[in-house]
Amino acid sequence: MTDPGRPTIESPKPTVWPLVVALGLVLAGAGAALGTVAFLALGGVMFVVALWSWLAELLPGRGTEAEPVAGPSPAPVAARPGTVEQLGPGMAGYRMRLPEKVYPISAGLKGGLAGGLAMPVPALLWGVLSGHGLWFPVNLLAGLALPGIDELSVAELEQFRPTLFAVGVVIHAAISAVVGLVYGVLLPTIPRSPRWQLLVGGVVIPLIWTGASYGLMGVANPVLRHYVDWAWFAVSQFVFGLVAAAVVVRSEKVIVPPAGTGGAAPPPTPGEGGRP
Amino acid sequence: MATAEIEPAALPAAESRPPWTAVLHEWVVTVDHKKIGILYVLMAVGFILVAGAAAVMMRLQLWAPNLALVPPTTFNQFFTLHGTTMVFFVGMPLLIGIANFAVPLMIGARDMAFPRLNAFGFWATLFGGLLVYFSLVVPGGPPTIGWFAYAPLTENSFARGPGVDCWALGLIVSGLGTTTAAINFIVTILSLRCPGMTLRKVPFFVWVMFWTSVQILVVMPPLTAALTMLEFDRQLGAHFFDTQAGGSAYLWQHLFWFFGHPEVYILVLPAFGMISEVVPVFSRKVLFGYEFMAAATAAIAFISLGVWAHHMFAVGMSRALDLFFAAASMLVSIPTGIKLFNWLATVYGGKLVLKSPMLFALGFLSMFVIGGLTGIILACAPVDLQVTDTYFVVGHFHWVLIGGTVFGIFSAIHYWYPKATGRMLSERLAKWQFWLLFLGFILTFAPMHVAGILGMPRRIYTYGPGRGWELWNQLATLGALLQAPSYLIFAYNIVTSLWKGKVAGDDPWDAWTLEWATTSPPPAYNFAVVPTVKSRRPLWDLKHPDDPDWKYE
Repeated sequence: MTDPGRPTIESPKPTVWPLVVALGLVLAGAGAALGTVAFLALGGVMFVVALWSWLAELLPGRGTEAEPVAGPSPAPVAARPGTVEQLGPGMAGYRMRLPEKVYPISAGLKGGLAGGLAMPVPALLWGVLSGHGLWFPVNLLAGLALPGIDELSVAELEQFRPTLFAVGVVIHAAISAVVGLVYGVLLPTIPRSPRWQLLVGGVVIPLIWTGASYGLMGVANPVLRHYVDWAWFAVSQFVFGLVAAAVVVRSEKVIVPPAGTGGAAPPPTPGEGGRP
Repeated sequence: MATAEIEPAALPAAESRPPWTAVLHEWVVTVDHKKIGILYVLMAVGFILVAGAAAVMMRLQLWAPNLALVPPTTFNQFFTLHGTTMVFFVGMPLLIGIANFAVPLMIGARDMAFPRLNAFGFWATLFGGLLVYFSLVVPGGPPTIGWFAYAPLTENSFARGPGVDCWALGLIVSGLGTTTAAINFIVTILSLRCPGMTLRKVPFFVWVMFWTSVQILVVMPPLTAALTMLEFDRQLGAHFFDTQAGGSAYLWQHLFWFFGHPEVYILVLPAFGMISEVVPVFSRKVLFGYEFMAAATAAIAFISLGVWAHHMFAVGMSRALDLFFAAASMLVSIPTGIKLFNWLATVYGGKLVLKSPMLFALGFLSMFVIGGLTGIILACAPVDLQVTDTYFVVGHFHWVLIGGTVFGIFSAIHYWYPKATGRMLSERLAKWQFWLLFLGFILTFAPMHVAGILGMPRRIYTYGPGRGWELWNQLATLGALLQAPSYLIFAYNIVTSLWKGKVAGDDPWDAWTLEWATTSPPPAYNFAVVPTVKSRRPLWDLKHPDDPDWKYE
């Protein structure tokens, strides 16, 4: 019984008819599955009667009741002014960009070129030790850009060929510079430095590069794929990676200025706790 | 962060408690969205224990080569009931149940738009599930068709008993319930938001439930149509899928997977929403990139409707179709990646509170990404052809559905249980549950990937020795035995905490959305006065009037 003096809220009245509609449906389903007419008929009757009763409750004033506002009230939400610390221009971490410090672009370029100078040593050594000579790996590399290399005999590939030499050097220098730049960007993001950066740059990336080359060289440079010794190939990648990473890691880092209005602010100090 | 360390309140005196028959009647006839939501969850917990037991039996059977612990037909019935139950009577009911409880509270509404239809949705799902399990007592027993029931194995020639009919009709009835739930969510979210809560200001879980409901509305009717056609075949002599009489097994696959793949997103999108509520509160930060997250949700909902045939690469479709569905499947990874990075950005720099909801959320973040990555692998048609119907696929989808959906659901239940019951769950039991599940889950499903790559087909009830599969199966079985207790601990925790749990208070997590502004548990009408909001975090605005969110949104 609702106390006429208490506030109430109009709410839907509890009802059993949705349950009976569902039960009727499922009984009819069981009847269909088993081929039992009794179940089918009983389910059908339940469905129709329950649906009719349900619809009747939708008529105005029939399906609702006045729910008294009772029970405990929620505790008021307490304001806690002054408990939010605001970062502002000039504070460490304000509109910070990650990583906070990076290597300059020149570091990546220098690393790539240094690696590029070191990498030919094992490659040329393989040429000599395999009996093909110094120019063999250079000529194979040129096959990445020049058509028709696959038509040259092994003896022709072992000779010094100025065009192939020039193309090979350009390819090597370009790839070395680009990979060096990638090192410059990537290595500052490795969380623990500089040993981990050396590990990633000197081992992990060369491994990935060797694996990708192994998979794709058949498409990119079928001649090199045919003649290359993959163990020596991997060694030359490790040499490149270690030298390039060492050069990059030894470079002086520069601070990334905060974004937006914080740009004019003093740079954040590493180790302080502020966060954007 | 306040986490309600209030002593357990004295239990109400026995004489003041209503008789159990009155309580039962109250719950049976209820149209209150909160009680219906709880009923959905309790139903799913019951089904998960049954289907989980079937899974453990299957793992024991696969422990060693040539074991005969379970007969082949029973094994087939186990995996059919396990898959069907987990998808239709555990996953979806849990998500719909939690949403049923939370969505009206989060938008400041007094109930769902159609309370009676809401009750019907629950009862139809429950009775549909019981009809599927009714097949246990019919001649021939439960179906042996797997959860996606490929034609023509479902035809009378191959499945003579009524088990398949119970399965199909049960799914039709429960599908009706799910469809009504989707309609209810859409109308509720569109029309019952409290003053000030524009669509751009709804809590993220609400936004996700809206798009999940749209997906349900699009994909459930084709499944219902396919199941009806199947019953026409079996009961009325039609030949839609009867390949011996000119029917098409291919048609079933298209109809089923048009439902089946979006279903994966129906199961995982709400978990995305739940995580998006939990992670900010327990990182003490606002959700990073709400607008991008919202757009990514809509993008996933749309794109996922056009990827279904990646389940059918091995059927032998045209090259153009293979290419299209491979590309479309990979496309889903973009909005999903946006979400993942935004969750990480929310966590980054936050003051993490490692309570049980956050533990499960972190479990979700770490595991779901692996399931997503193996999904990209399977989207490559040539790779898929190599591992189609192997244990790699089983490992992949369990990684998504447990690593994603289940961890998300557990996170949500641990988050909202105090609101639903007024009591806190035991943190100690929750942590036991988390670690057993986390470790057991990895140990169960990681080896399946290896077994699959080694060529082990799914659904075989045993295997010969010397194929290199023994170790991986034994690891998986040990994993299943390790994670099984976690579900029992969960069931024990949610039951005993009703009496033994610490009193929660209204806002035990110091959270920011509207459900925490009312009592725990909330009254039938939710809010005595319908609230007015100005931002996505109305309680933040009240708690921090000097730094309200509405200044920035």
